[in-house]
Order: sequence, then C-alpha cells, then structure tokens
Amino acid sequence: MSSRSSPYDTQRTSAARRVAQRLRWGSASGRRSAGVGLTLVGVVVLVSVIGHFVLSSPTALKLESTLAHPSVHHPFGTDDLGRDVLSRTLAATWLDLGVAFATTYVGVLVGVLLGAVAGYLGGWLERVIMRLTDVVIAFPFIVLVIAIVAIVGPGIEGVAIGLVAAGWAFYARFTRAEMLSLREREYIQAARTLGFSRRRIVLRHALPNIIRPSLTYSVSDMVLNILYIASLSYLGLGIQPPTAEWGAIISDGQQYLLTAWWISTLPGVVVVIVGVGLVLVGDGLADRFRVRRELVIDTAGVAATTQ
Amino acid sequence: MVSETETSLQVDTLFKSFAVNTGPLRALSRRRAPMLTALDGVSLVLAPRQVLGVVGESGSGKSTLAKCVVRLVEPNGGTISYRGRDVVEARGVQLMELRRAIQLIYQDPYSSLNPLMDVGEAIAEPAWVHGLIERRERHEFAAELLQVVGLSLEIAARRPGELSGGQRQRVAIARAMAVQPEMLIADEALSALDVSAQAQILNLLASLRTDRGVGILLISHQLPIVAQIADAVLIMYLGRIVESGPAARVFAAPAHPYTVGLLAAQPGMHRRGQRRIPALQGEIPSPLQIPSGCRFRTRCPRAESICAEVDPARVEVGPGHGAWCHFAT
Amino acid sequence: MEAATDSHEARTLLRVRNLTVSFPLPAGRALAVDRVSFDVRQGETIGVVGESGCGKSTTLKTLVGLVGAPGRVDAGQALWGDGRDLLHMPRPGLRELRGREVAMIFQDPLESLDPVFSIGDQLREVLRSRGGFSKAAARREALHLLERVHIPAADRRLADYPHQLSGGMRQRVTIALAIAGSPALLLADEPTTALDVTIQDQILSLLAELQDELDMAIVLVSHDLGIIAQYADRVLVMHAGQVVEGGTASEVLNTPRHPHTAALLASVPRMPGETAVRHGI
Repeated sequence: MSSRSSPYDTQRTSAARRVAQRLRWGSASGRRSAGVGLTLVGVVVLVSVIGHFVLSSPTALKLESTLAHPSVHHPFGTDDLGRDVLSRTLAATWLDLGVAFATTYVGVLVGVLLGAVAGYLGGWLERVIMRLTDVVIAFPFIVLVIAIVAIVGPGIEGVAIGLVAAGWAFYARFTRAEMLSLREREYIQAARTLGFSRRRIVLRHALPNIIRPSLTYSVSDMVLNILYIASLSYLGLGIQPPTAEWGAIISDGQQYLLTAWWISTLPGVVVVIVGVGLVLVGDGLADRFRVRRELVIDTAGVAATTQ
Repeated sequence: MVSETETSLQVDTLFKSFAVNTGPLRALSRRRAPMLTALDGVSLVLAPRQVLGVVGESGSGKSTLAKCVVRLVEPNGGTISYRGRDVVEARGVQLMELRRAIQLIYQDPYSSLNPLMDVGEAIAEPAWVHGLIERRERHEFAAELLQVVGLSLEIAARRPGELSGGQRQRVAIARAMAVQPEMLIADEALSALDVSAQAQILNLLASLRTDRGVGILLISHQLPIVAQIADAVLIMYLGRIVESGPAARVFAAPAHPYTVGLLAAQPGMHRRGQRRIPALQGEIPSPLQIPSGCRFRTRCPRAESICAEVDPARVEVGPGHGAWCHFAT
Repeated sequence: MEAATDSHEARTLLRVRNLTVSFPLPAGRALAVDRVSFDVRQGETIGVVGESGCGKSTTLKTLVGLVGAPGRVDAGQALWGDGRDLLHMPRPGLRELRGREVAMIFQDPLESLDPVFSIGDQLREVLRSRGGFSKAAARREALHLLERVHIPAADRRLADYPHQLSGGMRQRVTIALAIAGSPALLLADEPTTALDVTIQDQILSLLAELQDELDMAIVLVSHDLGIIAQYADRVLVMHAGQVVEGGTASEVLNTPRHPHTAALLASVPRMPGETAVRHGI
C-alpha cells in the first residue's frame, strides 16, 4: 500500500477507472460465449456469401442426378428435383436471417417506442397502447401470426407482417414497466428541471437506460422468429416454393427421410448451428450488461481500497 | 433601488396535500382517500446572493417545498413567483426560462446523473439546449465549468459510475450552473457525502453565492451545515414553519422548543460520558394525523392545555426573528 | 497500531491482531482491511472513524464471520478472552458465540429484519433458539426486551411487521434482538446514519444506557466525529484499510498526530457552542 494523504478523490477514481476498464467487456465467460456465438453465425453467413458465387443456382433443376448422396460436387447431396441442397440451404440462410432480423427489430423499435411513450406520458395514450398490448398478448403467439397470415395471404409479406404485429407487444409492456420506475429516478427529474423537451428526455435520457434488457431478449426472440418462419413454410403458410427457405427445404425432404436423409437433416443442422450461435450471443450480451450494472454499484467501494 | 419582488423568489402560503392510495379496495369504499398534508401554509422570500437554510426532520415537508418551486410537484394552494412572474402557472417558453433560472441539486449524486452519459456531455447539454452556447463549443464549455467546480479536465470523458460521490455531486452542481441559474435549490445535496467532500461542496456553494450572486435555498436536516453558510433559516415541522430568522440569532438564541431540541440533539454538543436523556422524546407524528392546536405539542417538553386548543401565531422575538409558540418571548 | 493503555484494569474481551482481509479484482486482490490491530475491553466504547470505503465496516463484519466469498481473511487473529480465535472457528462454535457473546447491528434495520415475520416472532425465535424458554416465557421476555429499548405500547407492537415501524423504531427492534443474549460485545455499524438527528440522539442514548446495564463493550463505527467525540472512550481512525491513528478520544481529537485525522477534524462543520469535538473530552 502506498502512503496517501487527502484529498483522496483523484487516487480513488483513477483506481475506479482502472477497475471499470478491466470490466468493461464483461466477464471472461460472457466474452467467450459471445465470441463463440458470433463465430458460429459468422461462419455460416460467410460460407453462404461464398456459396452464392461458387455454387449452382438454388433453383436450378438437374433431373439427371436426383436424390444424389452427399459428394464433392454436392456436399449436401441433391433433392428429388436434382437441386443442390447446400446451395438451397445457403440461399435460405440469407432469406431466413434477413426476414428474422427485420421482423424482430421492427418489432423491438415499435414496441420500445410505444412502451416508452406510454410509460413516460401516461394518460389516455398509455391506456390505449396498453390495452392494445393486452389484446395482442392475450392470443397465443403462433395462432395470432397464422391469423394475420390468413388475412394478408401466404408469402414473405404475410409472415413479416404477422411476426411484427404479434411481436411488438412484449417489448411495449416491458419498456413501459421499466419507464414507470425510471421516470421517478432523479436523473430523469433532473432532465425535466433542466428544461429539456419531453422528446429529448424520452429518446436521449430514458431510452438508452431501459433498452438493454429488450436488446438482450431480442436476440433469443430472433431465434424464435427463425423457427416461426421455418415452421410457417413447413405448414405451407409461409414463403412459397420454389424460393429456398429452411422450413420448406426440410419439409420437402421429409418424405425422403428414410431414403435420402440428407435433404432434411443437413439443413436442419445449419439451423441448429445458427440458433445456438445467436443464443450464445444473447448470453454474452446479458452477461456484459449485468456485469456493468453491478460495476456501477461496486466501483466506489472496491476502488477505494485498490492500489 | 429595485424592489424585492423584482429580483427574488417568493413563496406565499403554499399548501400541498397528497391523496394517499390505500389499495385497490379504496375505489369500492365510499369514504374519501385520506389526505397527507406535506405543506401547510409555507411562505418564504429568497433574494439573490442570499443563503436561506431550511431545516427539519424527514416528514417536515422540506423536499416537497423544493419540488414545488421547480415544478416537479403542483401545489394545491398559495403562490410561487420569481421576479414577479407566476411560477405555478408558467407554460411553454416561460416555463423553460424559469427552469433555467431556478436549478435543483438533488440529494443522491448516485442517481441524479444519467449513468450512460459522459460527464462532459451531461454538463454541456443543458447549455446548448437552452441556446446559451453553440453545439461545437460544448467541450470547451464543459472544461470551463469543471474548473469552476474544482474537477480536473480528464473527468469530462468519464461516466458517473467511475466517479466518487463527492465528484458526482460536483458534476451535478456544474450541470446546474451550466444554464447560468439565478437561484439554486440544494435539497439535502450534502447528506450523502463524506465530511471532507461536504466541506468542499459547501465552499463551492459559498463561492457561487459571492462570485455569481446566486441565491441558495439550502435544505438540510444537518444543522451544522446550514449554520456554516446560511444568512437566514427556517425551521420546519410537519409542513409548517415553526421558527424563522437570521441564522446567527436562531442558533444562538432559539425561541421554539423544537429548535432548542434539534440543537441539543446534535452530536458533539455534549461532553463525553455525560449521562443525559435524549433532547427530544418521541417521533414526528404522521402527516396523515396532524395534532390539533400546536402540531409540536406531542413532543414538546413545555406543552400545556392551551397548546392542544390554539394554533400558535407568530411571536416576534427579535429583529426579523419569529417563533410560532405560545411561550416564545 | 496499539491504542494507549487505559488506567483502569478492565478485562480484555477481544484482541484483534494484524487482521487482513482482501477482495478479488479482475487482476490481483484489493486489501479492504490491512493489518488492523486493536483491543476491546469490557464495558468500553471504541469509536472507529473513517470515510466510506476505508474498511471500517469490513473489519466489523469479519469479526462475526459475515465476510464471505469472494472476500477472504488473509491473515491475523481475533482472540476472544478465553483464547478462542473468532476467525478460525467451527460453524457451531461461531453460531453460539454470535448473539451470546458478540452481537451486531447495522445501518439499515429494514435489511436486517425479516419482512415476512412480525417483530414478536423474530424476538421469540431468537430467544427460543437460545433454549430455556417456554412459549409463554419467550413471549414475556420478548415484551420485556421491547420495553427495555423503550418502544411505546410494546404489547401492541409485538404483532407489527417491520415495514409498519418507523426507522427509529426498527433500529430499536434490532437492538432488542441484539441484547436478547446479553452479549459482552456489541458491534454497531453506522447504527444511526439513516436516522434523523433527534432519533439518532435517542438511539445513541439508548445504547449508552444499555451499555451501563449490561456492562457491554461497544465498537461504534461512524463517519460522524461528533458522535465519536460524545460516546467513544477510545478511537481508531481508519484510512484505506489501515488504522492510521489510535488512542483515547481526547488524545486523538485534541492532538491528532496523523495528517488524515487532522484533515477529518478540520472538515467537520461546527455549530456555534459545540463543545465535544472542539474540546476533545
């Protein structure tokens, strides 16, 4: 221990800052799981980019080699129409990830904004928004999505609209609850007494402080949305053939499961890899946010005794 | 000479009561919700360059008073005016200007700063929102203010979580000073700090008063802090002022039994080992059930029958020094 | 650092020697308590002062085994009068010692009381766990304890839950729980920091009164030098985990030798007419 004299502030905080810097990226395990997750998803995306240029078209028929075993020419084999399963799977990666990403985050955006406005402003606006979320949440998720698809019509638009319309409500309810407790916090009151506009307070001071749990959850939500997109195609309600889509590919291969196992199984493995990757990313995010939250509380105490 | 109304903050017979929410069954019952009286006719005048101390236990209404003045709470009655303009009715641009002129510093520096915003940004934001500086000037501006509150410039890039309590409270003060306020309301702003940090912040407040002519409403339950820099004090009990006057007089010759008790309860006012009974018995009554007559009578060592019946009026006990007690002389 | 020897020959209850406690950091360990030594004698009050984070609370908690992982006692001894070491005691022995010989009260009584049990339940539980109390006797004793800490209308309070009491009343209840086993040593960690000054005054007077009744030693941790000046016989000044100065209250407060103590004293706001801090004793 070095000898010290007053004032203590400078020494204490430089120690505090060092602790903060060390912990900024979360615990080692959180960092590792996020890294593994990002790598898994990244490899799949990268392979699909390369595949786009190297492999044959996902819809090209090759009737002379139907139901071919996995080989050097067709690593995932071919399906009953002689299409290359790998190139179909990789093309589907783009579609599924893209639609899942867009539907998830449009839902997050809509939900978080509505929830934040409802929580901060209150009044009739809050009642309208919250009753609406109650209605949406009251339906089983997939039933509601199917109902919307039935109205809009099957296809990519139907799936996207259905997932957003059913998905935003959770974020709205969650964000409103966070906002209700946040608006009593002194720094939000301070923002009011500093004469800031309501828009500035909500967007710049409140939202960044309550959006983290939503963002963490949204990653797992995206995994679910991928599964829903695939399930809907599987049921014939989603993206229509001949467009390559994970659920459709797996569904098509189902009847050949005993004779040509690769058509369903190998794309399924890719879906699992992407799903696990995203879950790990979500875990890592959650870990990082949790550590930083604790850090804010602990820094002063621990750092005061640090060298 | 400008008259007092043109320069000062005036609070006149301010009332505030809250309906107490006693649960979901309340809506079914016919009785009205009980009312909690937080402020019961409080008046004060705060002039520029003046430090007015407000002292009382928790539950005395001090914080509600502060929140009414900065419009975080709407009073039920009475008036607040600043430089002759109505504070309670202000809207739009007028309200924004009032919010610039009167700044509140909060008790807890751990929760009054946005944890995600770095210090420089937090300090400069109010200034450019109010159009006092250009956006591109904000770094220099923040640096200047950090200097005023005695913090080093490198702090500008940090977030509140990386600072000590004393540093955070300085940042909170710098942020309040950023809009060039004319009045500061310090609501227990020193309570959460270590003594050395308290002393430094107190010096800072004193210099803001002398150098910038800021008027300060210093709300605290710690008498020694108020005694350090206040020119005048108000002693509050259960939503009322029970004694007011020049600080030196009130502390040297307290006229209300509550003030006498508060002073005697200060740690360090007695010699070690001296066996004694506590300065004041009992606890502050619930603001839901304020005692009849003099509200202090339930704890007052001098209470007599008249105290339960008659609400005492102000008794002038010296120049500008008054006490609301039947026995004050 | 050894505190100056007192003149009267009181029994030494506790000898703490070279107590060192550390907490892990991402790199290395932080010393929260660094080679702290002091003695506690029967019936005396030791004041421990220092700023937040100086290790004063951790020192107290270590003595009753309340510093758990990731904190670690790296070195030192805390010898009870009969030679047992508080830092290296088997669980059952420690449990017996806590409460009977050593009790502790905290800054926030709401956190140290169980919100789902009435205060009567909590008092009775403590009494019955000590054995020798029938149900009826435990009830009578619980009532008696509440009366000893001057809780008005104590018989009606037994059925109350902690949240129904004011902060001052809650602290009285935790004190009642602490003295239930007539401990020889009470560790008080900022017991009045969360309270109003008039209530603080009542609680400190109560502690002084109970100290006389039970001939109990008190280690009083506070950041308020006024309190220390008024109640402590001897004072330890802590900074950055170390005891930087120790001695009788009048020595430390009148003629501080360490610059940190002097700085602490200089920053205490004073009231007109204040006696204790300025004049030491």
